[in-house]
Amino acid sequence: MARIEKKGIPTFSITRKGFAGVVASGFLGMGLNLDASQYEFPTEMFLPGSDLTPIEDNIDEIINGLTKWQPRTKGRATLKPIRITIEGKDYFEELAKLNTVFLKYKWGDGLPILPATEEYVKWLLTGTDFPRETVIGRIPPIGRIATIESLAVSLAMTGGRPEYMPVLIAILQAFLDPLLGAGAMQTTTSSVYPVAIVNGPVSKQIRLNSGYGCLGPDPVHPAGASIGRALRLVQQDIGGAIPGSGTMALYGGPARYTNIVFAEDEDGLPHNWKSLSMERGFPAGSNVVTLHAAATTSNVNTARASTEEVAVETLNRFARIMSGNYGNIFYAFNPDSVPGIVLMPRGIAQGLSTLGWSKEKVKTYLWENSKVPWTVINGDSVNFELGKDNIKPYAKHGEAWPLAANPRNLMIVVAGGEQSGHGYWMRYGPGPIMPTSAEIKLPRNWGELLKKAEEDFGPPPFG
Amino acid sequence: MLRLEVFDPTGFPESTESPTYAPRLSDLRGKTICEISDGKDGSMWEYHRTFPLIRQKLKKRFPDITFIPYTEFPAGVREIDVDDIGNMVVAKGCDAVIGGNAA
Repeated sequence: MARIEKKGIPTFSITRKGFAGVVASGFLGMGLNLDASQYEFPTEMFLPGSDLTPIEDNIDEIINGLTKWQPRTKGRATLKPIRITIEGKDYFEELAKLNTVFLKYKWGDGLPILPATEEYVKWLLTGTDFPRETVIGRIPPIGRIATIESLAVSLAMTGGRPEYMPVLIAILQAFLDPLLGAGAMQTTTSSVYPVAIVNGPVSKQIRLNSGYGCLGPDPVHPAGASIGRALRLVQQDIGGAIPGSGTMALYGGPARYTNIVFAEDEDGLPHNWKSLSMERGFPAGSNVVTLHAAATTSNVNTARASTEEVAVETLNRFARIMSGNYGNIFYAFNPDSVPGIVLMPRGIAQGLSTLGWSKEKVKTYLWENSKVPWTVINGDSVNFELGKDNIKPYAKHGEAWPLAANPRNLMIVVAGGEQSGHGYWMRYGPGPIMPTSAEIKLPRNWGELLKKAEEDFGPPPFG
Repeated sequence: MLRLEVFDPTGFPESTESPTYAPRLSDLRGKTICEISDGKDGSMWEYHRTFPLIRQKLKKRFPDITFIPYTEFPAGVREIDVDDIGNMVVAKGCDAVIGGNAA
């Protein structure tokens, strides 16, 4: 609607109660102000067969919205860069006040933050050769501008280190790639969050986890938590994704605190399986981040590949879980959409490879056996209606629906604890259309940064 | 008393360019109103009932108003979130647009 306003055509939005902030954010993100001609109608009115009396009772709101409405502000002020000054009798009091103030301004997330002082930010900026004022882009939905300096500020708040900056910068570049659909990810009612998978030597160098507990907290591999949380603060503080106004995710989910940032276990890849980054067109050994999004995740129990029979059982378990929780994959189904991320530990991947399963063969098997049965999809009126036109080239009437247009669209990443026993399925969430990738550019002083990290932490952990 | 100075985390300062909303119409007599829906195939909201009701109510007040229904435009969250939607509306000769929901 903001695009239409900018063409000189007045608009009026019929808005669901509680969504006025989201609509206004959308206008701001399109270069207008945090304002829109709209009226909030009761949520019940939007349900099937609802009572539309509120429309009749408020027809003047619609007329006024097109004839009388005026934005509350006429122009945009220049917002000079501001610094926040906190006073306290000692450092503890300063820190406590800082956290209170940041929550008051909706800049925190409920967890403690560290102060992004000039000194700290300057230190973090040694992790990149980009000048601090370099613009990364506008972060949806409200479209404020992120710069290299802004990323360093967010990373400071999460206790980051300079060697994390290249990965965070690449993640934001992938985040703003239009193919990802970040605007929809930010505002959707689904509880979706970014998942960043890193390939290349940088993973081990910065202590990013690819093994046990790689999707969660880990004191030995702290990079993922800090980088992922910095991304969340960018999404919130610069993009305006505040629950209930900028982001309408009904639940949000615990993963949103730090999103998920981990590395592929490239040492554990079977010799004939390409890494994720190679599949996406990058040369072997490149430092790359691939970004997708997850809405729900499932642990795949009892996953092994000791014999052919056991391997097939394992793949069937993956397929059943993928098929059973298709969510609204079909809503955005297109020739290139990727329905989620399959995680396999090296124990299973190597077992499959030893048995003669190439990555392509695994993908084909999963693709074929994760199709949603006709009886299921036909009985799901909403997703059937949303997906039936998208799926037409790929499934005839009465046939099971594949989760992707092509087996090669399935994403398999080798990661997790070294042994077999479990796998993981991360189903994509509505909003993002498909994954995106960005090269991680290291600064000239990379060696010095790693040397300092080794002084602080000791040698990088194995694996 | 100690002083701690920290960055504002909300990004780079904005420009001074003044955004312009479309001017409102003087009234709706003789105007062409277009409809845009982020719902399709019966999902998202009751556009297939809401828009006709709005047409009926507005027609009663402004007998010479005309409507270009939502069926003449793309429908769906992604389908309408395109740079070209403004051009489509202009090409159809819309004087104003009513959209929903929370579009």
